[in-house]
Amino acid sequence: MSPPTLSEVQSVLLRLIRAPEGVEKAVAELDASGNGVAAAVGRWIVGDERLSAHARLDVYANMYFYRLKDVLEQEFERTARLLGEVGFHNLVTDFLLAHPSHSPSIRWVSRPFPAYLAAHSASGDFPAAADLASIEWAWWDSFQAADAEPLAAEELAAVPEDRWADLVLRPVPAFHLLRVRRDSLALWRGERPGIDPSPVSVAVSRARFSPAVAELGDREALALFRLAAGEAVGEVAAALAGDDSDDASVVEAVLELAGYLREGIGRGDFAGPVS
Amino acid sequence: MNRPPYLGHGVGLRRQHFDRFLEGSTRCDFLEVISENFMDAGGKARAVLRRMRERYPVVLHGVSLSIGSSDPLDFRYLDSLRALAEEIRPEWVSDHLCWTGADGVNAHDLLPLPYTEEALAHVVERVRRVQDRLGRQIALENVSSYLRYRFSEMPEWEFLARISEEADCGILLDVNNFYVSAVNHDFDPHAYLDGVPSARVWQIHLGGPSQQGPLLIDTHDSGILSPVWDLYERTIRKLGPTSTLIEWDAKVPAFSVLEAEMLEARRRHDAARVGEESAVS
Repeated sequence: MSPPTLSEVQSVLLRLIRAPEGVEKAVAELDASGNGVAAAVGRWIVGDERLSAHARLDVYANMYFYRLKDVLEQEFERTARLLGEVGFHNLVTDFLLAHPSHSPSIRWVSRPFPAYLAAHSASGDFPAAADLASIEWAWWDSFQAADAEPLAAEELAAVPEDRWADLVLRPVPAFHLLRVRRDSLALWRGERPGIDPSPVSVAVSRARFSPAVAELGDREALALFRLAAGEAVGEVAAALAGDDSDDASVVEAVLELAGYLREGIGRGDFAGPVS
Repeated sequence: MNRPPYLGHGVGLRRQHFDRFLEGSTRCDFLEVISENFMDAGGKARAVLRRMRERYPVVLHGVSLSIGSSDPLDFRYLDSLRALAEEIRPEWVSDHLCWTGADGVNAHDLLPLPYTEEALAHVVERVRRVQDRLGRQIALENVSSYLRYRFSEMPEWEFLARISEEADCGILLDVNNFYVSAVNHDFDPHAYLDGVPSARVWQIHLGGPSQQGPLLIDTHDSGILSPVWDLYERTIRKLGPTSTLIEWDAKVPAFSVLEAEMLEARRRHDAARVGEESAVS
């Protein structure tokens, strides 16, 4: 019998290593579907009196799972604590089946985790868990995000008055805006809240190296979400002014927006140069 | 091939020790960083790396090149690695002689290759393309293994040696790894060392494994084993002065513990060199 190709070996071994309930069971299941994997593994991998071929593959299977679980546990520390050891373990098992890593960097394994958790049965028992995971992911991403030259207050002040309305600001990669349940924010802060699904807006900013998570007022959130979505300063000011389009309301809205911009620039939320 | 300059002894730059490195000097001669942790990333880690680059020679060590995978090479990854190398100007760039994924999935593990002519030709061709894309030669590290393939056609050391010669690349010789594999697969680690072409070895890794059942596992979570120290001394007697790095990635100890292990490596390296010179004279 001719030896298997590299591609054939790697496809089968990776499938077995990723199997959630161990290599032995995965081989049996594949064999039941007429795949002939058991015979192939026996032909390919050396087993000996110390360990069978399947047990040797299991070493890699365990390392695969626990390496990725460790990463998720580190990045979603509070979420893991909330779900408990067994709950988190089972969630990670399901998650890795649905979302194996496709990136060279292990950092991106966790990106789909909050959305996956939101649709997972674990959220039925812990309704704040998915939003808590969103905050945790935003914090980690902010911590590691690519650097960007922050917009300087002087640069913004130098923009001619007739260009202000059309000005579009770009958030830096380390800046995140979230809308989450209030109880998830409390859990992030280490409090022990009761159930409170009311929505709250949150900004994650990285001033120098350490990200900060801050609750936003409704009007500041309205302004920042619109700016981050690429709306021009004039459009955002109009949204703040609302239906009151008289001159005094517009001036008040512009001043209010200028205040939010000053604070955002102070935190390094926007990237320069202005366009 | 000329071996790159001897850098001395160093450690891996890990975030647990960032503040220690920022606080002041250490007795390290050079530092190694995991390439993927800094590619397309900023913040504190990148700032620390830039600062350390001003103080130490740095080498980039990757874990996701997946040079032996049957998947196509990831040129986006390579371009990102090249951009990092252009900024950091490392003494050299290395990765592992293994595969880390297939069918588009990354296992984030260093999986062993079968040592066949097919795999050899596949890896040689890919190393050449990687070196072209990066605009530099790379070094490949031997990995620890817990399984071996019945259809391998040559021993691992021959596979490693032939790849380095045919692809014209360097070797990062992990002494702990070939010791671990020797224990797990019942071969003589001295035969491995004898089979490695000295002129191709750019760097040595030392790290601590752990016993799990009947196997030794390359966990990088402890000090270096006594037989690995002995092998290291023998390696230096064979290779001459070779840049050596201590890896400690799990249960990361206080910096003083890591530094002490590095100083022990330096002491043994220098003692082996004296022994070698005495034997010659």
